[in-house]
Amino acid sequence: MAGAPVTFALDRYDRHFPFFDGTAPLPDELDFEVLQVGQSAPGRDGTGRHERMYPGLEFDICEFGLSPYLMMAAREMDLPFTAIPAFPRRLFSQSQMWVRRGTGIEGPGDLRGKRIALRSFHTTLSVLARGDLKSYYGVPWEDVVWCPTKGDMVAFEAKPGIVIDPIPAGADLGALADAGAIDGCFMPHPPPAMTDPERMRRLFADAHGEEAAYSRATGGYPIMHLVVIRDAILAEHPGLGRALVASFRDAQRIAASYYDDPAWSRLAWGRHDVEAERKSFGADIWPEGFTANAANVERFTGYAFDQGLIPTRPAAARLFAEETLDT
Amino acid sequence: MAQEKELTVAIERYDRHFPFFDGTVKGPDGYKLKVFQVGQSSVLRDGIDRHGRMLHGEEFDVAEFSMSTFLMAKGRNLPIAGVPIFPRRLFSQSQMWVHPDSDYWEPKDLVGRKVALSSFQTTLSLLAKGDMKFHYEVPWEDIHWLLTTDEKVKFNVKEGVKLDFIGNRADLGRMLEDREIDAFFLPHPPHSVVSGQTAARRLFADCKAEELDYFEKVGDFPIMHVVAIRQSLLDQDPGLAKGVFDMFNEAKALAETYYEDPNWSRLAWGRHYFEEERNLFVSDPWENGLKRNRANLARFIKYSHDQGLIEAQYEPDKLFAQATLDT
Repeated sequence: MAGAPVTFALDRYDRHFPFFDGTAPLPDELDFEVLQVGQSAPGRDGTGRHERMYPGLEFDICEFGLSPYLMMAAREMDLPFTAIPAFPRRLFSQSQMWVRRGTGIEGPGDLRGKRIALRSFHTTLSVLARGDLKSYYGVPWEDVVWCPTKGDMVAFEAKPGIVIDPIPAGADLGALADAGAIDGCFMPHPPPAMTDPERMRRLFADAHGEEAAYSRATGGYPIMHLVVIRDAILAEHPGLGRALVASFRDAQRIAASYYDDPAWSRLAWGRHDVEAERKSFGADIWPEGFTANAANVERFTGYAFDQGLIPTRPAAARLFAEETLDT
Repeated sequence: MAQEKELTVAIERYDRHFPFFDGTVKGPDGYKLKVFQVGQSSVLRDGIDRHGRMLHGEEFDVAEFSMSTFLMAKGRNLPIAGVPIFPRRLFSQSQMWVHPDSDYWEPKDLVGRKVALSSFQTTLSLLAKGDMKFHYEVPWEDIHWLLTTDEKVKFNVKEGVKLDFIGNRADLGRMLEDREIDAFFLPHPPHSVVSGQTAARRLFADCKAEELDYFEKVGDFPIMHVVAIRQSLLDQDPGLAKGVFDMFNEAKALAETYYEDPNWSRLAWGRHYFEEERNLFVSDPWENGLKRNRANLARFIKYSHDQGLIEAQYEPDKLFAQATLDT
């Protein structure tokens, strides 16, 4: 085999361990070097995965944010990579909504006029949480003061009338909360200071129940990340995109089987939790492939459009490599 | 610089062992790790029958090993040493399964019934029988035990114990469905039950409450596995035992940080379960070391003696390498 191995940058989730211990089959026409790169928290091979992919272009295949990818694709930017419909990270927004104790915020409606810290304004979880506030809870996200802690990867023009008040990088969020400068945070990886039960609580006391109801109403588990591949590699290896979707599906299946062992997880009742979630959701909440996720992606596209992050609403099919559209 | 020696380690692929498989944990000073992913009753990447291969083949330098068989081996002064690391733990209650339409709701309902086990000495069998007698006051001698795997270390069955070898462990789901057996107590329920193809239910309607009550009364999360090390290796380097102890603790600490990411697990509410368990247990139920586990080990030694697996009770100190006795 000629040439350097293809670099494949992933977070270290349970469902990615089959890539790290070599038990998930990868397409055999290529050599892969699987890298463990975190986004907000470091993995074995470092952090800042999304920025290292764009604008860094450091990897050949990379787990990447749905929101920045959508913004780039909808702007028809000249991107050297394309997404495939594999979705390694998902989150409900509700569990990620934390408010400071003593603010009197009891429900979404009480967030009007409050100051909420975010990662960047267009971070996928930020977009989801704002969209859910407006579409699901009927609270216009425009009425909240948004305080991003990180700059945006893709530049955009904020809609008129909305208030974005950035927090300087490296600021101590716990101290800002204690001083009343922020009332809460909606973040994909909140720092420990922002989940410290002495200071903070979740907006929804029963976030779990709230999310189960949300999932029943919307029919899914919201997507945070997708996977992008460099176009040059896709062009050279037709079928690679489809084959990788199959690899991610295998990895999910293998990781699901971990939980068959009642002692696999350090959670003493992990097996009970698996059984309860299976009953609660009915279907697999981690489906890979285009068909099972198109509606989920388009729901998010609607949120991004409403928030002024994209100029037009592309159909889901426009976002993924053509060869993967029948997956 | 002296050349590093190779240290072969055979372990399961639990969440807390992932740092061994992605290379984020290193070997003790002077040793380079070679890690094998070997299952006990199911085939993993590098095979099966880990306990037998360690006990009879001395195939590995270090291996995750059955607590019960280890107690028997030490009781017979076999050349194997221990490190007070306990990579697998289970409560017995969740592992007791009966037919869904049966009238069995607590241990006393099983008196005179047929209950299938893995082997008689399997650690979960030892624990379940001991818990029945000493926690629920139902003598295990009043149950007809059906065994499905061979005993690793031979022993003489106590007089009056009703016990038959039936083999055929994979078929226990069907046998329960057809009422050929009344219950099974297994460390890994059959696949047909885990996947929901065979209808079975747990003996206790609320296992979590039952186990939490057990933990509050007894103070321990019962040990299933211990880490064993080849005695001949320790004869050359007695300090290695402490190095192995530290290495496993480091892996455990790394794995705990995984759960800081609210989406590390495929479980949609994995982070909530983690928080709930932390509140319920208060202190870490997985803490390693001799001091924290002395009572837990003494209870197993008592159970083992009562079940005729060891001739006499002994102090837990006898189990472990000298260099780890102050842990």
